[in-house]
Amino acid sequence: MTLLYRLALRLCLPDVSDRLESEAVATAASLAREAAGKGRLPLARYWASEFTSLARLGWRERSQRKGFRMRSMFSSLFRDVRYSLRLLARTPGVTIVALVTLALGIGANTAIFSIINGVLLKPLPYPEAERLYLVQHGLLTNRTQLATTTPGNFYDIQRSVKTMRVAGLTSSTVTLTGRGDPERLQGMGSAGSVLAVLGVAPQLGRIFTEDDDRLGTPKTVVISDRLWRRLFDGRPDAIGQELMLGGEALTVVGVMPRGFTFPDSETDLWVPAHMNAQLRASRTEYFLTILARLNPGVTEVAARAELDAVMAGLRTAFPQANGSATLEATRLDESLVANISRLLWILMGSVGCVLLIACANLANLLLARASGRGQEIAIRQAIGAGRGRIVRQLLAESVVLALLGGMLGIAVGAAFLRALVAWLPPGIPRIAEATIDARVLLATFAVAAITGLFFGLAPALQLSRRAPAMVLRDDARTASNRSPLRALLVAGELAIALILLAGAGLLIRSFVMLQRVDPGFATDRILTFQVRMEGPQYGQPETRLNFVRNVVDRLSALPGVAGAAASSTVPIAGRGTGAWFNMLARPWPAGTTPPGVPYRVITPGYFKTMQIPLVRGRLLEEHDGRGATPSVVISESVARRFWTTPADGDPIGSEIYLGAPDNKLFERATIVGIVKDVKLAGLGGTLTDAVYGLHSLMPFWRAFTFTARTSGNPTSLAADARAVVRQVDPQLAITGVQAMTDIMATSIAPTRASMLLLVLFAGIAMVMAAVGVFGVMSYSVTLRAREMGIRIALGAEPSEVRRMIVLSGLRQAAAGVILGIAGAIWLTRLMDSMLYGVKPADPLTLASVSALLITVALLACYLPARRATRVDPVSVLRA
Amino acid sequence: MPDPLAPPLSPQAFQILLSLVDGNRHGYAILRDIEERTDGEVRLTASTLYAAIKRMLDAALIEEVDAPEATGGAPRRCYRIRKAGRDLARAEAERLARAVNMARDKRLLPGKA
Repeated sequence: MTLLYRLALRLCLPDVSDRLESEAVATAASLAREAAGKGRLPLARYWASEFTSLARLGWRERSQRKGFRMRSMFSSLFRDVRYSLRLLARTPGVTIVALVTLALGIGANTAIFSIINGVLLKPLPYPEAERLYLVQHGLLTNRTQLATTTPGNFYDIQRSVKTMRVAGLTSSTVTLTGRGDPERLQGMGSAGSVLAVLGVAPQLGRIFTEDDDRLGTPKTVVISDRLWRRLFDGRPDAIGQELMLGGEALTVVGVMPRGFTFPDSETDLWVPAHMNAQLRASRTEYFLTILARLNPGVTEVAARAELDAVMAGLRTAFPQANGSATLEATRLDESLVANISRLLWILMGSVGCVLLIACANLANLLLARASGRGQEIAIRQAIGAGRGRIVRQLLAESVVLALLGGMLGIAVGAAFLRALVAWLPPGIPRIAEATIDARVLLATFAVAAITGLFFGLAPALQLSRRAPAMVLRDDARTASNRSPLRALLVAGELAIALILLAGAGLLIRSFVMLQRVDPGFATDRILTFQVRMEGPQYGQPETRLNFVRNVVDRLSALPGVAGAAASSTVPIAGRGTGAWFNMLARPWPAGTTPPGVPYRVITPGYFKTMQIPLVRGRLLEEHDGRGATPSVVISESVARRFWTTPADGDPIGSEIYLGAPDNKLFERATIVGIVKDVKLAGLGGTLTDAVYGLHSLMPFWRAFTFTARTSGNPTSLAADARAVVRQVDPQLAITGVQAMTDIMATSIAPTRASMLLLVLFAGIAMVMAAVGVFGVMSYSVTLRAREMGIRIALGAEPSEVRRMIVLSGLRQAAAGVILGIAGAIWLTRLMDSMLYGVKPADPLTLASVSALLITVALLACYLPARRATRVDPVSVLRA
Repeated sequence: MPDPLAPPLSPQAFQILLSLVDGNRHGYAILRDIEERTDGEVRLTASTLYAAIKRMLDAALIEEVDAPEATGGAPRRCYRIRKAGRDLARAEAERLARAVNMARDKRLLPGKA
């Protein structure tokens, strides 16, 4: 309380505090003690009266002198700034080092904050975006495990809810034909109307509404500004024209405004889903995500309550499909960035730490420089400058320095931001909105000013505290010989650097672990590309089967291709489609939801092309799709999951079907083989469950990834592969031509990017901390040169002196490392979800980064120590 | 804004000077003295006291002296009244006395005329 009073006194009555501060504070403390003797209430009353009278006096003082003070304040501020600039120009070396440090530190913060601002902080560009929610299924047992819903559930929900307007979303890429080469366009299908829920008006024409999604209505499409300009040169007569999309003619009814994106900037068209009656009623095909806008005046709580009630009804009505499901609403803005926000905040924290270390170094630098200015300041004090005046002057210097650094920092930040946006893995939502706007500028200057105060405060206080007479009598060499402040700064820097190094170390280990992961198949020299069969002719199963067979045969015949195949999804690329897994011999109890298992529609050569080893039984052959005994192959993990005890029998020979009793993917099939597990969703993923069936068993499948094992560089065959597809059907578009290794790289790209960034920041932090240790040690060696000289003159071994210096530095380093380890254990927990195969408080990582940092500190101490013992004692003593 | 250090003095300033008339005191002692003499009627906070002391020091009404070693406690500076201060306090006392006499003349207060 007395501390607060002291501060308030300085603030309100600066004249009084200049001269009588300690007296006033002591008296206030005595009065407070006296009041405290009478109880708590009198004490509170005392402080209240003390602060009110202070405020009153301060106000009176200020209002009396306002005119005079304002003038004098500005002129003295101006003087301070001018003087600071002159000083900075006088020591260009120090100034440049400081400015570069600041520009880098502040620039890195500006760049990362721009991204956070664009991705996390700016509101989404839709009207009342805070009322938009995504609604997904959760599980009664785990409400955070979210999944898509079925058309049946969606249309029931749409009919029932009163608190919100909903639309079902599904991403749909379609092929555009009839305008040059066929091309794939990213689109979004919508049950109901996604555009009506978003509430953005089109720049031309109209949006589609719920009515356009009804059965039997003409098919419509709304296109993006970008597509409009590309296809129609921005002509208004685009409205009413037809586009051939997926083999069907769709009428363009509207053009969205420039800059409108949903769900991402890649999406160029929005269409009503136009599901047929059978699909509309399906309770077993999960592919819709619900976008909801709360009606005016409805609270989130009311909306959730209604969703719970609706879902309770759906659970009772359809126990097999919905028995364990819930409905969960998440704010749209939060769910868009759910995966990335933690990484961004960790990066922000890291660059913040780098700036803190920069501050500590600058404080050290200024402390050292200011020690040299002790005389100047003492003289100013002796001729009547108050302590407040001196502190203000010194702070003005550091703030001017920091603001200059901030200006440079904005330039550095802009460059850094551009590099980051180009370099970060694709798929970060809203990254395009990361720009240096007013908020970023404001934040940067606030950070610069605070930085200036932060690194200027220590030297300012320390210098102005010394009695002028002492300083004037002595010289710089004996003044402030041992500064606990410096030791503290050094320990703090090392601690922060260690935390960053630990984070970087953990990510490096995760990355190494990820690269050591056995994906379960041979990943090199595989070319992949995707084709979706669209158009009326592919309505027939035979046409589909023939197309796939044709492409695979022609691919296999290409020179340099050892084998080719097609599959609904390749490993690593994602979970893909799943279906309920049913064993004929052991049906699931009625009214329960069967477990879902991912399935893969393949051609017979798939296992050989991907080199997925057979564990038991046999692989699939051409005749296994149809005929008397259709067959499937399962992965080891499926065998383990459903055949747990000997009583369950042998999976090989068992009969299964996939899907719901009223919606089977195939009637029945016998398991004839078990293959080794392959990673389905990312190298770090755990998902390996898969049921493999031939295309002839599941001929409904239309979208395939073709794979070809090559003898040379797989991408050199890309042109040949395109030619093959064109020969078979020139109307189909080919997408995603890439090597399997590229798919793998994409899957670990986020880990790789966060690792590289954190390693970069940790590296900078370590170098800065080393510079800090080096600076402090060499400075203290300079101060103690006379002492060293005497010691050596008196017979001390240079090695002993060296050891003494190194040890004193190591003590500080050890303190910093211990502090850092504690901090790292506490903070790396936040990274848990980003790690793979290593625990946050990994002892090996902590030990190695500690050892690294101690080594660096040792080196930083050793160099000045060696210099100290090389001094000629005579010259030092004479000086 | 009238000069606070010209008659009529504020009651607080008058009481502070009055406290110093019969000896040097430090801040806390001044507050205690005033409180006792006025039975708590005039009560100052540390802020008011030191704001006044600052003005009086500037106007050379009082001066700082070192406290005798014996006091030992926290405030180390004592204040001594200077001639100007004593004159000012006297002038204020006389002004007040004249006012009291006027009240008596009008028989507002009992006592000899």
